[in-house]
Amino acid sequence: MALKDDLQSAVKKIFTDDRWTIRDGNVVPEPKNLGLGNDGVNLNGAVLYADISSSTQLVDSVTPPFAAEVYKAYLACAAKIIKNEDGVITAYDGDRVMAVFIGDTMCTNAVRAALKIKGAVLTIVQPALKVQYPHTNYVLKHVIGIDTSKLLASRIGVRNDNDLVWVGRAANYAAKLTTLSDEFSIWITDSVYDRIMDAVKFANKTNMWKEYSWTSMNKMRIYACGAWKIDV
Amino acid sequence: MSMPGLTILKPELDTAVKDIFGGVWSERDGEVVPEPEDLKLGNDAVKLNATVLYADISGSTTLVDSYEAQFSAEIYKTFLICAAKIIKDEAGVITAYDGDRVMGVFIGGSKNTHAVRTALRIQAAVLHIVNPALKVQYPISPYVLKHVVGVDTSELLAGRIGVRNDNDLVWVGRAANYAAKLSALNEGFATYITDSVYGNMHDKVKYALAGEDMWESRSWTAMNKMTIYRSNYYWTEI
Repeated sequence: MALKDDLQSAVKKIFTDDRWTIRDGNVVPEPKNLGLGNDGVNLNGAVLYADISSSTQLVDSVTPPFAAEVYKAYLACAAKIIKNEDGVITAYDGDRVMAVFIGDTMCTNAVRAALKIKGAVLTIVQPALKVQYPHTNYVLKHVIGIDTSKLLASRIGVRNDNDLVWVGRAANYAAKLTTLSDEFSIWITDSVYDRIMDAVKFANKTNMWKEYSWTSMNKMRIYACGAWKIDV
Repeated sequence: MSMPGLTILKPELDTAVKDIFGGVWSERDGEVVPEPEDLKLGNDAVKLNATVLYADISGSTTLVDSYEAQFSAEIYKTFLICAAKIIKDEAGVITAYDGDRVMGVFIGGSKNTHAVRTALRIQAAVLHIVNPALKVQYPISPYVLKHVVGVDTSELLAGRIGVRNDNDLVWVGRAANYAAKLSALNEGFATYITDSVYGNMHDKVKYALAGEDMWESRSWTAMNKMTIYRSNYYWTEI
């Protein structure tokens, strides 16, 4: 079959082309900045995933337009805040958004974005929802995960779908953190916590972050932010 | 308790959110999977009966934790390229890539059959193309690619997110959620489908050549014990 041959040669080319062209990046690459073969950009980045945690409940129990409004309101706020903090949105996928932050203050920017998204949910989205739908008991819950590591960005290379794969711990861990309890809206890894400025660590001299041990990930240190937010 | 932010985004966000909640929806039935530019930025939506497929690499955290980045990138790329090409060959539309997973949407009269055959062909590609090629190139590597595909069908609403320059769509509906959740199951099976898919697909993707049912039912504990079906069968022709 033609497709089998096509796939076999594409797969072989990826595995055998061992001369990866890798350069260090100072900006988050666009797909068009990368070749279709084994071309990659190395970055130190902070990855943020923001996810609506009550989305299955949302699609199961309310009308699709209401659910769509909640999705859109949340994602619009998250996206604008991320950009405002110099983050780059690298993927939307259903009810979650992925962003990459780079540069010296990437962890602080990512965490401040998270605190502002939390602020937007509490002071903008939820109140506006209540004004429009006074009788609903739906409460928007969300979880944001942030990790930092070296990342390798490479192009997937299916014609017309010019997306990137992001390979590295931060991409995986940030996504996994969003599946933790939505009792807390923000989870960050120890690597992020150890790099953030005091401005996003303390509020009125009180540490905003509480340490937990991530049981399923070799008990690594992670931190949750309880009752704090930043006004947008 | 709150701290002052640096930039005042509030007025802009207030307006955007108010417009979304207060706006009147214009909704139409779709016969093709919409592109973001087919939808306006407000509460404009296309309603579709559609089947959603998510294909996900399982154990990708172990992969990136234990192997060098280039090797992991080769695994991601080979898997995603095979999945993407098979989805397109079955007339599906790729609606999102996100890290190590891909989302495809199928519509039309045989959408379930196409989506399920896609899943069975992805399983064949992993078993007969990716893993053998990996073994040739890295003969001493113990890594074996495993993946999970989840498929569900429902009515879906596609709306545009509406942040300028990020022309992506939100997909609202059971199938988008359940297919993603199914692809996160990790119990040694390559394909999971809901009962709605199983009950509305052609016999040729239900029964194997010898006539046996390729699918085993189980109750999905986390989702109100709904019936789902799992399989490790693969389609003989990729």
